[in-house]
Amino acid sequence: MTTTAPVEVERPETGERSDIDLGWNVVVWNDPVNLMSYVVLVLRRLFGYSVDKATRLMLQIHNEGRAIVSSGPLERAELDCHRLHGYGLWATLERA
Amino acid sequence: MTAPFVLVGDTVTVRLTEAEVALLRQLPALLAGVGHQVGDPAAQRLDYQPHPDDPDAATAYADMLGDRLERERRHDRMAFEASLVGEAMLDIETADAWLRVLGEARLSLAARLGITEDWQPDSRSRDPQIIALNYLSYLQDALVDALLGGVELEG
Repeated sequence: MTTTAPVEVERPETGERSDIDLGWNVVVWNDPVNLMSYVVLVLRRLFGYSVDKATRLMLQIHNEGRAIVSSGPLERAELDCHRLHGYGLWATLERA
Repeated sequence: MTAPFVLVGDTVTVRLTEAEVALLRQLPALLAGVGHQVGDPAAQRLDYQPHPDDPDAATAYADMLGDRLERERRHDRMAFEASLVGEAMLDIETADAWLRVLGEARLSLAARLGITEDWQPDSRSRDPQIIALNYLSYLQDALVDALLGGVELEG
């Protein structure tokens, strides 16, 4: 199985938003209550991930405390975040 | 024991006892009451902040979203309530509403019980809230199992 680990990038610290949207990561955090099978179903439902990919992300959330589940422009990332909140998953955004 | 949920094509058939229906009928009111008391841990758990370290972005997000999440939750609760009978047939959209209502109820109960560590159902407990949480965990797991047999993707 291949993995697609996020790549660390340097980004300018200007304190202002860049004209170029470098993109945002949607992070899901571990919580003690949501069922593992439920998290897999939600990731498949919202992002169309395969069973393997959704399970791998779920395990990363469970074992490492968090995982990046999607990335994109701010508007898209915020919508993803909102949909995850709708399913009770603890999701936040960070710059990619 | 008969499975409470079975997916057949695009339909989830539901089979619940009267006692189960009676317990589940309490969930919409439980969820509608979240946050009515000051410092309700359930309200804190269900209040999401996608930009926890960026007040400006948080404000922009809140302005954009408005009360959309709360409206969607109300819609889910109504769909759940309207379809909650002992034997029912749910389309996938309604089954998803059940999934979210059961999930929110679990998160709310767990928050009020102060569950902060990874948690396994304690079948020996006599605490009514823990018994309810155990039952809702079982039921949500059963619904997830049924739905994972036929995942449909959102656009």
